[in-house]
Amino acid sequence: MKFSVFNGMPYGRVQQPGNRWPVPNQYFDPDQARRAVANCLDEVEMEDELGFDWIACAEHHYSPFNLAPNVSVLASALTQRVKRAKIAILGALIPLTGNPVRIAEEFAMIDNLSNGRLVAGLLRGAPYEYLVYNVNPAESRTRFEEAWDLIIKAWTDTMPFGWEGRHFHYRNVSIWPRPLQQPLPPIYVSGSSKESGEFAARKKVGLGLAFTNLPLAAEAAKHYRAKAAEYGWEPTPEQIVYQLPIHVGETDEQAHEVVRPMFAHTALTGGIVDANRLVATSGFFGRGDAKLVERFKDLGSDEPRSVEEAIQRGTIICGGPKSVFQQVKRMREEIGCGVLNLIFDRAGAPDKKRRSIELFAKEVMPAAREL
Amino acid sequence: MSVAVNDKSVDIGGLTVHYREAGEGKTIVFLHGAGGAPPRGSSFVRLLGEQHRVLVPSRPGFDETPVGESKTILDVVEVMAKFIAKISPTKVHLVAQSAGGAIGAWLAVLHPELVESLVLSAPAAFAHRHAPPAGARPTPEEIEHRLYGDHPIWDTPPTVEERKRIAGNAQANMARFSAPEGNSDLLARIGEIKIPVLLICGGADRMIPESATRPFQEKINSCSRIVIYDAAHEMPISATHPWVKLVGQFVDRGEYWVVNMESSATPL
Repeated sequence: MKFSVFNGMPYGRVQQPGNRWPVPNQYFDPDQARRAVANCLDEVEMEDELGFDWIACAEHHYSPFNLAPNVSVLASALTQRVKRAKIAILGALIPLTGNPVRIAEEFAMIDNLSNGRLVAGLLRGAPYEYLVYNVNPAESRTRFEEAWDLIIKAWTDTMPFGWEGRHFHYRNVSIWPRPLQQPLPPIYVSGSSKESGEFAARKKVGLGLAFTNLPLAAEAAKHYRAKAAEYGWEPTPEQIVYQLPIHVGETDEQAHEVVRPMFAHTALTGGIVDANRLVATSGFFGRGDAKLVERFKDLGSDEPRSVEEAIQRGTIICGGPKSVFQQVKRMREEIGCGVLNLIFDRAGAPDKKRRSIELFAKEVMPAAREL
Repeated sequence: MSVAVNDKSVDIGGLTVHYREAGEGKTIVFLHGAGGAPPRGSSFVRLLGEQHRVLVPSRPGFDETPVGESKTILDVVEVMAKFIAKISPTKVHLVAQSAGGAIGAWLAVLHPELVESLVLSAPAAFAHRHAPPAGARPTPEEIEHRLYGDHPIWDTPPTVEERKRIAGNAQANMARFSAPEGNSDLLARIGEIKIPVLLICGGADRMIPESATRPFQEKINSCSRIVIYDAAHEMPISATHPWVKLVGQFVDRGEYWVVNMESSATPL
């Protein structure tokens, strides 16, 4: 297996009353932001030195959970601090920006800046993101597919071309630089929904599974593999990425104690749950994904209420090194994923987080690579 | 605005060339594909005719125009050159669809005095090099889907008689006027074209792959290429509105067609 560390550049806790979304930026504290940026960039260096395969980041908006509204900006910074690991953008939300060619340009530049280490995630985004740039969620699928085709063409077509699409219009496209990796960098799309899994299989690209749980992820991966077989190919394990939070402690008890408070203050309460519900029930998912619509109607109630339940459902990896190895093994066996994208931010204090990262790299990763 | 599409004919050196005409304005000569004149229920001639004078000649051997003395593509090109000279006092804008592409390109090479600009819409001139390997013959329904795609725009769908006419045209003329050696003589000369050329490709064209049109862009310095996303081969029908918009902009604005002049402001 391969292991990725997700670095969202989290800002940390915000003392806002009401837990609304969007989070009012009157609570933005420059000093706290400075520390968040410094922590993130220091940590990625450490993760690189510890031998993680990918250093990942992602685009999210209007949120202190992730200070990367333009993920290319963060990824560019990572290229200068991460010397060995791949730079995995998981990913850019390509239906949202209105300018897919700009994403093609930025990703190509990051591939050049990193000497060909880009992993390119081209995603639809979580439902609530559609409230950010005023995009109709019912058009999410068609915008995504057109943007995807346009980005691939911008990376591979070596003569200038124009594009007259349903959503995007250009008279001249001829990007410089092109990606270093030829013909294309490794590409992943999000695949929790059936439509997305079918799309990834049809395009013969990797599948990223996030903000889900183990049974749903296993079902999505199975669907993806079945569709890939229909299209005449077989994904490698590395083409299935499962993302989830993790905390590794010296012992199970110690690790559980560290993350236990997060179940009292789950991220998925209040405004962001409402925002997801509004969009998910406005045509964001296709007809074949009724289960997902139901889930997003009340996402908060779907969250595990204890560490033990979360481990059981595969929404977190938590424990001492031995337990964590067993949990990783279970992901590998039940989902078939060849890459885990791990979020170490549940530890709270930076020193605990760093220790967790170190324990995973030194005590778990060597044996887990053989899975 | 409702524009009438009228049937007409003109004598070209003893050959009666039948054509359709619609609208007023800059003259567009639409050079049809292998199936001959487009189905009457297609709307693009009428729509282009709202701003332009559109002429749709049936070339020798197609529809009601006799084949006459024409034996080669170049013979047909000369008949078309005489048709243009006779019917338009000014240079015309050629819009060449599929098999009409080679005719349009030859006209631009041999008769630049007649041609203001050239639109090549899924031109078939060099497509044989990319022909798929022989396999099971597609059904008529499959061919129609390849031509017109998932959502063709019709004023009225083609009748059984029209379908027979189109199939008959294709069968009779593809062999009669197919160019030997893959239009290598045209390939050697398209670099002489100096007028503005717009190459339009269908993103879902399963008959003429975009790669087969590449020589036009590579050899003609004044050639721009644009892809209509999701459009099938017969783009005037498969993607009527974007195709009519692009052709209209190119004809009206020449080299300025690349400059976006559409306002993004919402009126208050």
